[in-house]
Amino acid sequence: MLWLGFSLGVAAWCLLSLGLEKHHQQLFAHAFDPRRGRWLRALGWGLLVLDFALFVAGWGWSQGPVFWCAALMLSALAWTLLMTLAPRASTRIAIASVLSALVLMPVWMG
Amino acid sequence: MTQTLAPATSVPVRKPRPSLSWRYRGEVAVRAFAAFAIGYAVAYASTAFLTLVLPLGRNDRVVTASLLCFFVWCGVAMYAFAARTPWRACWAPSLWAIALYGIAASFPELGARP
Amino acid sequence: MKNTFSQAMAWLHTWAGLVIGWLLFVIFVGGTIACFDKELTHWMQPALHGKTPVANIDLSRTIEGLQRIAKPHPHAYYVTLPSERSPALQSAVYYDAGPHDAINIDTSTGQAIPETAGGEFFFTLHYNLHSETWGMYIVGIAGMFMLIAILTGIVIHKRIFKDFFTFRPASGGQRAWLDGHNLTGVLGLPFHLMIAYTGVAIFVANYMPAGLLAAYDGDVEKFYVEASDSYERPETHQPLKSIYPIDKLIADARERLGQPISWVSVHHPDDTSATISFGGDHSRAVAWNFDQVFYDANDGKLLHESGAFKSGYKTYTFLGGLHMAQWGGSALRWLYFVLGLAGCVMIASGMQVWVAKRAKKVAEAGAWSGYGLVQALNLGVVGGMPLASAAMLIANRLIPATMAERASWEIGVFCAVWILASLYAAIPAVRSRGWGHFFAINAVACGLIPLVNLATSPQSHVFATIARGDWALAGVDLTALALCAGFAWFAQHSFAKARQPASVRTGRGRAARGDAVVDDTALADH
Repeated sequence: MLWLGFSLGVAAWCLLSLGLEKHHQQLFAHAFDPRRGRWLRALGWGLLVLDFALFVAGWGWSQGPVFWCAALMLSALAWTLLMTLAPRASTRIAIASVLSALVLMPVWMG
Repeated sequence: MTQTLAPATSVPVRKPRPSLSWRYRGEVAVRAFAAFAIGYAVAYASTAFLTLVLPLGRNDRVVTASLLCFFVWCGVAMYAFAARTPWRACWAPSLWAIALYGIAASFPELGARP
Repeated sequence: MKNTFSQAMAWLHTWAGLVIGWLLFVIFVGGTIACFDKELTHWMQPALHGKTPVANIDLSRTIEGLQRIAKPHPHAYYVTLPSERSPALQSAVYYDAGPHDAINIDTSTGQAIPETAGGEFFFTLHYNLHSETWGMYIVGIAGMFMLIAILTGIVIHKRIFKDFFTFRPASGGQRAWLDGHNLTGVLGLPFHLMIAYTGVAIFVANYMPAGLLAAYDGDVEKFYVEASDSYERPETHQPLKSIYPIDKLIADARERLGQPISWVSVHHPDDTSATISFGGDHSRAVAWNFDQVFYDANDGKLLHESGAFKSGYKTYTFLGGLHMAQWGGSALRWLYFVLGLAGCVMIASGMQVWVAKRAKKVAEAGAWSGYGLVQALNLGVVGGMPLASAAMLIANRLIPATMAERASWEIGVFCAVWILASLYAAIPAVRSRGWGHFFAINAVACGLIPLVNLATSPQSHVFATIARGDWALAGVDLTALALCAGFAWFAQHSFAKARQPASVRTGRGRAARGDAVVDDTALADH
């Protein structure tokens, strides 16, 4: 569950940076479209909110927000390192981590 | 200490770097004193003052006032280095400390109300 | 005014950080290690490894053991029952002044186990530098400086969102260090701010007596009785003949508290005013758990059950719990550990930016100037403390179990290694290029931990602990190996860089070609 929360955080930061011209150019060759950028950023923020809900659902209103904050900070660090050290693979890795968490969910739940 | 500090005189702008003057060191010392000691005095006074005026029970007033004091101290410390002159960094917070503590000390029964 | 204010705050950020940088590094490393203090203590008690804990503990016998060693007029006896994180039965006598006396017992044999400084050493180092009251105030001041550094850092970092993900390690030299400092500082900001504030807030009663004086005329006991609905009664000065058998009360206490009993204490144990109290642990909620139930030590009569806390005090216990991370299982402790490491990197890289910026001046100034001292201190503290910590763990396995004052010997090794490391760092040839050396030595020390463990303790080494699924113990060795790998990588990187010609190393060429613009306020000449 923590892995899911963490990887959603990475995905959220991924979307948010893709929505910023500076980092979009870091990752992709094609031109940056400001309108799409706004959508990506909105999606990124949405994912952060979803992540919050996930943590509250899993750990309650007292512990959940603390876990969420910690996961956000560490996933932001992880995403920054990914973008810096492995820019081409970074988005794929972000997607893969979310998928792996979703796949493993039934294992933890059941 | 270092030779490269830009002299943060009353109006810190980018100047060429002369070696540290005693005047500069003095000003830093005064501001540091204001930040640390006068800052603590303001924090102390604000804690006493808030313990007096907050519309809460006695226990909660003490806790709230005390937990806030760190930010008061930080605020004064930041002001001490942002103030236009080192002298102002000293007298302005001192006035606050005296005023707040004076009010708190004038109403001891109110401060101790349950 | 805006420009001036920014520059003033940038100056304050730098100097607030610098003045307490090394002290704060020590506090941060201590705190980060202390996330797992109980696990580390357990790792340092090999006598307990591989044993199954005993369910029923004879508490009366434990109390008798304390009575035997207690000095006259003790303040309280405390017994902490074995738990998952701490399998030893811990008992101690506390006094009004001076250090406590402790006996840690192996429940399977009923015998005391060899003493150890334990992970507790790092926890105590963290909050009072092992200097009781003095240390507590010095740590508090360091915490305040950190708060100021954080708040000014927020104020000056105008491009906080634009530079959010900026990290340019390839730039080399100053820019990379500064990016590292900004990255760990900004991305870890909620954690650093929370830790700094809650850290000083925990000791607010010691740092700020104004409220207590104004509202309670300084009566501390009255404050706590009201705040946490606890129970106090004055001493009678009549000697207590015998303490009521504690084991008879445990079931009742458990039922009233609605949670497993984690500790028992007897206050004023040699006086007829003595009370027996029971409580649970801090693992169930964020806020500290101070729920207690009190019995009369003369006849076992129920005296008081603590009820609702005042909301202000509840806030305080929540803040304290946020800092101490005794809840949320090992998951939260790991999160805090990694964030703590990020904080250590933030502090160390901040110091390094400043030192590196003046590297030229340092080279010119030569051996005995202030700059040289700064460089040596930087290396000695940042490189030496992890080394001393690793050395202490190794010493734990090598110092004989029967040695008197074992714990003091372990601490002695810690201090000696740190001093030696600092002296080594002071050598002029070392202090300007010594990072590679220190990373390498640290890698060796960390790698030695599981090896020495393997050589000396058949029940404790990583293969044995993994085989029986004891991951808490295995975790220490595995973390040591991970740190070894990390230090080794840094060492290799350092040595590789040292072999490059100077112009490539400082990365001035690349910076001049204008990588992404950076807010140079922080880089401004201070």
